[in-house]
Amino acid sequence: MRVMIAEDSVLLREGLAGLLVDHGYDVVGRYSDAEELLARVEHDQPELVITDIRMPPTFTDEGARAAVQIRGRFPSVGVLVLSQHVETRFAVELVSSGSGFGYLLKDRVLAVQDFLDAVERVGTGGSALDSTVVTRLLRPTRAGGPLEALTSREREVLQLMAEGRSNAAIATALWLTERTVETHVRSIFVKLGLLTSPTDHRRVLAVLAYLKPTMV
Amino acid sequence: MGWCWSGPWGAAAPPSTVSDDALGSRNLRVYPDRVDRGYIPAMSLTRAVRAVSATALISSVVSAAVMIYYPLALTHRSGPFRAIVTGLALQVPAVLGALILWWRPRIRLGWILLGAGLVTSVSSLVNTAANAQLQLGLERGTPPTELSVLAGWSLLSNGFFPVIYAWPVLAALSFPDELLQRPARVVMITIAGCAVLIAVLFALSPTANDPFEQVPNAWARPGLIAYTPAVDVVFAIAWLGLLGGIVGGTVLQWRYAVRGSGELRLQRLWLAFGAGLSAVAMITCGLGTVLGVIDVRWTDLVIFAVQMAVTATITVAITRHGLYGIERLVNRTIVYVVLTAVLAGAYIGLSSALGVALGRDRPLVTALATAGAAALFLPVRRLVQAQVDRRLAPRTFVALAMVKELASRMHRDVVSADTVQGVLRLALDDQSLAVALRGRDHWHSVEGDVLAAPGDSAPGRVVNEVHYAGSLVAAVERAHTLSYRPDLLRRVLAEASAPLAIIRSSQELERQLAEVRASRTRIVHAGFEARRQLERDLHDGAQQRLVALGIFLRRVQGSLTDRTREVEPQLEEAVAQVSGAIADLRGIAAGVRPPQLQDGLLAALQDVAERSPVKVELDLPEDRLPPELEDAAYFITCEAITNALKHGPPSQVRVRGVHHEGWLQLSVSDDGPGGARTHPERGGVSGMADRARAHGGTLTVDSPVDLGTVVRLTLPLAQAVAEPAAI
Repeated sequence: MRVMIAEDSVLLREGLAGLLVDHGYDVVGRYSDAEELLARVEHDQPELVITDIRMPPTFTDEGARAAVQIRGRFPSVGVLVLSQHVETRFAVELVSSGSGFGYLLKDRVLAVQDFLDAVERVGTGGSALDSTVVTRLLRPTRAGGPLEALTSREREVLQLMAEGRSNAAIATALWLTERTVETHVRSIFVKLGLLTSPTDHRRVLAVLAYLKPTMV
Repeated sequence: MGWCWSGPWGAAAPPSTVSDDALGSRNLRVYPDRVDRGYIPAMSLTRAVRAVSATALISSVVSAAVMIYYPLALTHRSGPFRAIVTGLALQVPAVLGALILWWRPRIRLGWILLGAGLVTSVSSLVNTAANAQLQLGLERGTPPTELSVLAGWSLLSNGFFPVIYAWPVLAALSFPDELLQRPARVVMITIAGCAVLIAVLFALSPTANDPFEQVPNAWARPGLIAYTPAVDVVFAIAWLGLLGGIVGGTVLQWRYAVRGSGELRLQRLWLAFGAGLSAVAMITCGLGTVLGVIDVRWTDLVIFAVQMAVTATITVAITRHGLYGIERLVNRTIVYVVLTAVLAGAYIGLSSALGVALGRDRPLVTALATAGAAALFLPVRRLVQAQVDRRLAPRTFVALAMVKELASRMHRDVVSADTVQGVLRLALDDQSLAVALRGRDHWHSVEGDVLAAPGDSAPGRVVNEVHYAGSLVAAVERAHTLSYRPDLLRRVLAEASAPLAIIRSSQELERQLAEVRASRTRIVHAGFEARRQLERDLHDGAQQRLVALGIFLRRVQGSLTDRTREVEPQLEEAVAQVSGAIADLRGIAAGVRPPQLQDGLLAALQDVAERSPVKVELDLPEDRLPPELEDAAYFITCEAITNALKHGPPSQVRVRGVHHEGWLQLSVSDDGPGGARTHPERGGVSGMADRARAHGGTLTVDSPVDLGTVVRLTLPLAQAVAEPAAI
């Protein structure tokens, strides 16, 4: 898979690139600001773009805006956004605005396998949401409600589902069979009153749509 | 005295004793006041001049006494009444002159009055005495030749007669500096020349005047001057020249007066009027004597009446229009004269009444009458003083009344600096007057604007300092023409010194408070910026490096071959430590400034609520606020929650917030044991309160025992909100 990286910190940029190369990815571009990234994506569309949120010149949301632009103009390019710390609201908005978005914390990179799974998912049109964000969403709120009706196993499944993983990945992560996972998923959807959705991404959207109001 | 006044008087004021007087009187530039000459008191002269004027006064009184007694004793041809009136009238100019000189030794007018008065009264005395002796001598039948010395004295003293006409004009022209000007000098020289000529001609006349023509003049050697009609012509010319000089001087003074403005003009007009009266008297005398139309006795009366009248005009110029600023002195004199007259009248009336009732010549009558008059002294004095003030010096009276009313108003109400300036403008009748108040580093106008040192403006402006309690508090920049009312100016400024000092203090205090508040805001802002910077450095700097390090270690792990695989556990450990360090840094950064604040106050507080062991209920609007405000609100609320948990634990904590009329109102309430004490000196509550106040807000803690605690916080939504309730 061809990957472009936009990250203003040299150390981090080279580290990421090296890590990806080690695992067989083809890093076709390394840039330190959003403008250059946009120009190069236009010129030579990769399968995946990994970008930091904050980049020069203002260090506010250059990367985020570039991400949205890229998805708008080049639907075949997946965008994985890396963030220094959790911005729950923004993350959820981003990921539920369409498929092919991912939001990860930078330290998630150290959990190499999770990182590479997310890279693979987003590069192939799926979604990835950092587990910290999902944990926050699933925390008990004052509303209480149907989330409390889930069993602990179901909560774990829901967590991983919201992160964007496939049933197979969930099964591997929880040491279950795929069938069990499917059962749990159905049960979750019933309890939350959601329609079952075919693709992994759509069910992420459904879950996030469900969970969004509870953010308030 | 708690105050003093300096102005065009130069070095009369003592220097300020305040040590931080960086400004001092040097910075107040006083434009040269052309009236200086008439006003500068030379302190070293005072004693000598006072001695002189005292002597003059005494001799004046003595000569009056002599003039009154002598003719009475010798049955003067004009009768006792006229003698008394004449005697008194002639002393008046000298007395006024002495009074003026007592207070202001250098004034020309004073010298002229004194000199002229003495000359006329002495010469009149000599004249009267000589004439009386001549009369007596002739009646007794002494041969005329033996009386020739007396005749000489009589003639000589008569020769000083022109002084009576000349001095009002000289007095008028002496004010304030016209003597320098050519026309005035010409007039003075003419008058002086003619007067001398007349005196000489009189002194050398061969025989005494009518009705003593038979007595020869001891000092006129026969043949010294041939008394041809030519001499008469010269004589006439001299008198005409004198008349011309006097009339010319009057006209000149009139023209100067009309050309001027304000007080100066009025003062000059009065003086010109006096000179005019003198001219009239001279014409009357001339007509009377030369043409024989008017009886010589009446001309005498006219002359003497005019003397009084001229003195009166000068008195009016002094009291009503502040000529030379000695109105208070003259005022007091008049008051005491009137008082004396009233009391004397009362005494006479009382003793007559009592005499009728109790019989004459009884000691009891005298005693009672005296007691009665004495009892009347104080009330009558106050009454007379008030009436004299009101009539003779209405302007000073009104001006002082205005300022006193202002001062009493300050006891009850808030009076703005603007008002004080307005009152001073009204009282001194100078709309261009400007008050400058002295601040710590600069001078300020009444509106509070910074001024350059006063006195830097156009020429023609004079600056007076106002002192209070030994330090310079204000400066008043006024029109040049007010220098002609120094007494009024001095008294008004003295009266206004206390209100000005108060205004200045409160203005200064407000300024310093504003400065302190601004400085506090700056400090708070600087702190906020510093924290932000620290958080950014932690996040963006240190954490990134650690993440990069972690990636590096992972890659090393990945590149391990079978042979080196034994170090894998150590590498794993290394990565774990790196992750731990990242987590630590994240915690530190969150303590400095939690990243959730990026998403708003509510989001950040939600995070806190989630991590709290006790249920925390949040009810806050979602609207975003300025970051500094969210910062402050977040930390204060966190501290309040922490306090609640620390001193409880309560079963529930409720955080409510609402935006109301430009303020964020937050309350953190819990149902814990209550009883939190608020000690300003210790940390805890005082820390929260300080933080709140630094942002212009307030914090209150309500904590009755066993009833839980409510912490109420208000913060202004706009950081530039004006501070609540000024002093």
